[in-house]
Amino acid sequence: MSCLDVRDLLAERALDALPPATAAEVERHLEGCPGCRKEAEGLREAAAAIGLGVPLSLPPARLAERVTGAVAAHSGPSGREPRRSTGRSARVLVGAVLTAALVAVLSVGWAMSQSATLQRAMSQTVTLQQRVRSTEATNKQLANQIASLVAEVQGTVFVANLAPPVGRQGVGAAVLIAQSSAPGTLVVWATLRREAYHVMLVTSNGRSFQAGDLVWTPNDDYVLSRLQVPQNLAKVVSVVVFDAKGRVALSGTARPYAQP
Amino acid sequence: MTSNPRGPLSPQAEQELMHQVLAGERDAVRTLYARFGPPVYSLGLRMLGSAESAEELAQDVFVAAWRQGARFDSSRGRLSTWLMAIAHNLAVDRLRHERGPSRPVLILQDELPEPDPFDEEGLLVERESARRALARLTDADRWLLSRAYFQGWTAREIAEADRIPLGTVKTRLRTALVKLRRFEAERARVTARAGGETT
Ligand SMILES: [Zn+2]
Repeated sequence: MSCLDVRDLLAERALDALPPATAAEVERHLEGCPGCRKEAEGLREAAAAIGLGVPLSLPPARLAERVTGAVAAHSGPSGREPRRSTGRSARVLVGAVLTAALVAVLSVGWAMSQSATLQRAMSQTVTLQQRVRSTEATNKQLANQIASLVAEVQGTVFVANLAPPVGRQGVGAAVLIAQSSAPGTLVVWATLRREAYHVMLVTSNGRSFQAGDLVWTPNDDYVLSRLQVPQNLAKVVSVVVFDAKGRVALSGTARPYAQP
Repeated sequence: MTSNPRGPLSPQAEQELMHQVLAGERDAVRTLYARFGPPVYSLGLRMLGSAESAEELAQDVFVAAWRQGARFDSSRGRLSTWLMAIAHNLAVDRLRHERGPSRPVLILQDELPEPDPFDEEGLLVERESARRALARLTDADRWLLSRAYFQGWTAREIAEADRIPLGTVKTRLRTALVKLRRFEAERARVTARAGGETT
């Protein structure tokens, strides 16, 4: 199916009005065609407006429990064991943490020769110091810096900017290095309350697995962990950091890393 | 970032909410339901015609949202669009399953709603923008989209009912939907989303 054929069918797709066989063919095309995908998303948004325009009827109060119960039944018993907190919170300037993180990255021994990259990265932290609150730009910059420092590790690199739930503190980044045969490498950097954390990865087919615990650095201000993961990291779409109580502390979407 | 539970979520907040849902966090599922349960239920009521079916649909939609959560990507579109697409798809499946391969004999005088003059408690910003965009369509366009969207008719079924060529129906459907998208986009430019920049 060509783009032209597909574009012709996207309105009917948005309205779920295509015969199943045609719909499947269109989906296959969309998988590999960002241009048509963008067009498709726009039309889907328009179709969703029709549904959203329906006058609201209040569902019965019991439906909320029924829905959460059904999701819980499918996702299994809430699984994660609460872990004991080690207490003591650390609130630090993002700039200071960035500098410390980069020094730590070096001390762990990756890419010792990349000192020019490090110099550049450190000079950027000065301007980042102004922005104490976590912003996507800050996260992305850090992720890119770490990725540039692990450039010598072979494999396909993905990065994820990790952000806290609304109203909570913290910031972080994850670098995933996927290798076709050997285990994947996951590097997670984060500034958080000083507690125990563990990382879960979610793949594009909806499966999830534990990647391991985060390790605090001796000077307290952040975690920086390098984890070996047996699974293929190329399929990972989400990185989720859980706190000691099994709540999400940080999360982010993994995207292919492009050299800036 | 807004703390108003009814205001729009930033793309980042939407993505994060779905991460939490994926992780099976009950509070996140509750938040998702609080936000989108009523529009999903209302769509079920409108399309399937009974409270019982609407409840079943809502349950299926949120379980599907958890199952398919990893596919949600906030840089590609809004959470409301994604969820309503799941809801619509499941509702259409039910309609087609119920009525079988033959098309319905009854043509319901069924139109897209006009926006009501009063404000509702808990109105989503997306709903407001959708309703304003819908109000700008012509009656003919609304009627056409209504049969496709709410009754799950294919272009062929509409063509046969109206005795007009299939190609014409397809073109009209597309034109009407593109218009609706343009009206929405125009409105979105006016009420720019909080933190709406995506990469
Ligand atoms: Zn294409």
